[in-house]
Amino acid sequence: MSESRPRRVAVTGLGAVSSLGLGARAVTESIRRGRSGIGPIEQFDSAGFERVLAGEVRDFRPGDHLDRIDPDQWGRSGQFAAAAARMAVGDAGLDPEELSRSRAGSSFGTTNGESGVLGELSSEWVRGGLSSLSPELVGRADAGRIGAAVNAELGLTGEAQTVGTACAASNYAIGYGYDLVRNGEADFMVCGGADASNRATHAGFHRLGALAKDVSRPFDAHRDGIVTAEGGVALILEPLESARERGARVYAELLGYGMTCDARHMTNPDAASIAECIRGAHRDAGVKAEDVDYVCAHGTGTPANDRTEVAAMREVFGDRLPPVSSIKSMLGHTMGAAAGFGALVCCMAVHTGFLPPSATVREVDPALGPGLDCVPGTAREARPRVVQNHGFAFGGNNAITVFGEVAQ
Amino acid sequence: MSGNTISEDLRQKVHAIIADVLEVDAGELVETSSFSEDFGADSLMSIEIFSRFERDLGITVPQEELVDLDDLPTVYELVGRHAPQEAASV
Amino acid sequence: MSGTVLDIVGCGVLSAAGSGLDALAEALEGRRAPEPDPADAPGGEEFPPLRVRAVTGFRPAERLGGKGLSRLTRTDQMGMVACGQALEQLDGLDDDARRRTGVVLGTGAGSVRRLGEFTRDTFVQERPYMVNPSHFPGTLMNSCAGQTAIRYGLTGVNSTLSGGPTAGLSALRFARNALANHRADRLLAGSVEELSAQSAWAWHRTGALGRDVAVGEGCAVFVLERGSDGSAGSSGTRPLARLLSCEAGYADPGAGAAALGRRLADCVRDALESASVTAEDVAVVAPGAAGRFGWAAVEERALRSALGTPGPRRLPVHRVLGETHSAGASLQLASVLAHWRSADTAERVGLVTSLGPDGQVGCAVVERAGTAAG
Repeated sequence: MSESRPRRVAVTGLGAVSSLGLGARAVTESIRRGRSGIGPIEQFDSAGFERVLAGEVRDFRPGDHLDRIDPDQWGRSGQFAAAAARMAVGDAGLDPEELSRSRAGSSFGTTNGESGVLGELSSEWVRGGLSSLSPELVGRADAGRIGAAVNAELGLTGEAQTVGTACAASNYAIGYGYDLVRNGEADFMVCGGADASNRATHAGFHRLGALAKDVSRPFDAHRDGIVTAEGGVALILEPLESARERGARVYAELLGYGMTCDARHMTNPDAASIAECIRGAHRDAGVKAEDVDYVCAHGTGTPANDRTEVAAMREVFGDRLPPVSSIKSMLGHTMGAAAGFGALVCCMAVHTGFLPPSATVREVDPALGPGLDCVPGTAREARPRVVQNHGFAFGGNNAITVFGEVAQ
Repeated sequence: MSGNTISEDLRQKVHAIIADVLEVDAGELVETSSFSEDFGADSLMSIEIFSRFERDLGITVPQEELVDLDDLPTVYELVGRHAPQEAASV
Repeated sequence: MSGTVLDIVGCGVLSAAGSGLDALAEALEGRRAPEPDPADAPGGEEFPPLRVRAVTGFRPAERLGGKGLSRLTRTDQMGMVACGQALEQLDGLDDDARRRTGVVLGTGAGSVRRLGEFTRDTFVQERPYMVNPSHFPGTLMNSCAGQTAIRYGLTGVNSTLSGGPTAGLSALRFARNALANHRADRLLAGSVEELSAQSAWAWHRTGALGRDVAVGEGCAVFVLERGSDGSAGSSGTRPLARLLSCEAGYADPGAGAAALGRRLADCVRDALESASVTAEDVAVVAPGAAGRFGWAAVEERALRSALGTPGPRRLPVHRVLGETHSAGASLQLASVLAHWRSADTAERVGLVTSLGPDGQVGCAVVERAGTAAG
């Protein structure tokens, strides 16, 4: 085992494809203003559904954002991931050729993989039987193509990990990349997540009664569910020391992460397990509960999630909860990309000094207890130094990343 | 409003659906059974029961009323309230 | 962590050869040809005119109980049964140990059949949301790892990785990283793939199978612990083998198959170096691409480049188990372990290689138990 000292890990580049715009700047500006990315579903035929809104990426022309791969050869999730990654590399000021010669890989999270492709294949089955499946579509169906799309687009020769831990997946992916950079196994890791708006996911949450009537209202007394959404997000991770040497802008330091598994129920969240995940993330990041200035919540806007999440935070933070908000109030639930968007916003919050809002809250749910500051409305100017980013999922998969301010 | 009385026929259909979802013999499922304690039911199974009512019986319970089901009398009452055509059919 | 050595202290395996390593060993030696009962092929839709190899004698109700079985996908069931098998080889885990034990599984896209049927319902039911809610969790890739954790009360690190034929290696790498960084003490890592009419038609339509290769299925999981002195792992169980290294890389398939082959050869060289063994030490290889039209030759060239010609013995895993896609790399590793149950004791080091049409390449180097050099 190499005895070299662990390296500090910096986030130096951000990229995003979302319903709130393309690129980290556009997304952040929308979030600061509390804008909504929710609109009518266009990615699949929503006829017959009672809920017909989603946070979809509109007017996305993948070819405009991809230098190497041919968008026609990849599914929508892979396009999102690769485009976000390409933007992040540009944002980090990295020479693409140098990056591809480096020890660099990718690690991306997803809930449904290439769900657009899988939806098309199912439709072919319905219309013409299984014998009518298109070979081209079959070749694009594996979820592992999300990480592969990133490596192909950036010419990376390191590993391409695709993590399928559902709606916490981006945090798992970021954590994995963190370990590799920290231990010197990789010099750059491009991490994030991607998912595409699709029929099966929408139907599933619809059937569970988990879809909101109009928009998602995390922490609101009358919250009634999520809004399905899509997008891709990417973070560039590299050693803090070499980032400084090359004069890179450092958004934040990735201080550590934690993972737990409920092992109780596939769909009901578990407060004790989430609390343990928070404690684990704090230990790994070397911070105490009182150091945390802001929590970017999983905050789906279902009655059960928000109740459980706040209960878990109270277990760890006691009655002095840090401000906590949910960007799902604007983006909707981007599934496997959700924790990645949380990470992006956390980095921007630390770097530029603000707290993201829970934009749609009208009346904070009194049942969530006293002293819950969920930053209603629009962003608040602030100087958060340590922030934590939640990601929880069906299957009992929880992962939390912790980011911190870096003196420039 | 048909109140909380439903026809014997509908009652039997509801009973059969619940027994099927809970994977128990019809005879084991009685008025005093607790779905969760006696048969290990969870929230997902409650939703499965509601969705079978919708699919098989055409009875839709609105999202706000999707509670965790635990006993037959509660289910019969809910079904009675949301099966408006029931009164006409008996 | 590149020098982290892990003990493999348990293995659960289900394949066309049957259940467990001994059945697999017999099938690999040709002492017992897998003749799957056609009734074992998962029902539902008609299969294409291809040879298929389902897991022989798979009777999940006997292991998992009948109740709730229909809500689980076949993928879930195989993962749960294989993990149960692996856990039985340990001396029992107390509550504390279960908190530090987790499940890390590789998959392609989860249960293709369940996802397909669920999506189909959105088209054919009266309303598109009239799907079965209890079938929703099974459409997700992490269903199997989540269900397995629930079944055995394992609250340690739990993850799911996707990567086609390399998925098993992706899982090993994820698990190895988590163990090396003390994020868990013990992980059940492996991968799973279920046979279905849906996936069989997908193979048939793409023509991606090699000549005379059957479409298979299966699951293999390995209980991994941080290496001790080689005598016993932290659970006190004697290791079956040691995972010396596991490397992964990528080459853009758009640059041609040969680029993938070169990347795989480099990957093997790195893995050998990381494991502190030489090409000559490698006694047996379980190649992964042998079942795929066009890719077998690419992999073979990479192996010759890294290990010399003719190089070590190749295990004919695909001839016995069929093409098992995302279960492949784990079943190859299980095949190496099975082979060592009866092979010449001079064999010390084994190699598993894999590459996929999407550009991922990877390999793992294992050492037979009780043969550590020095």
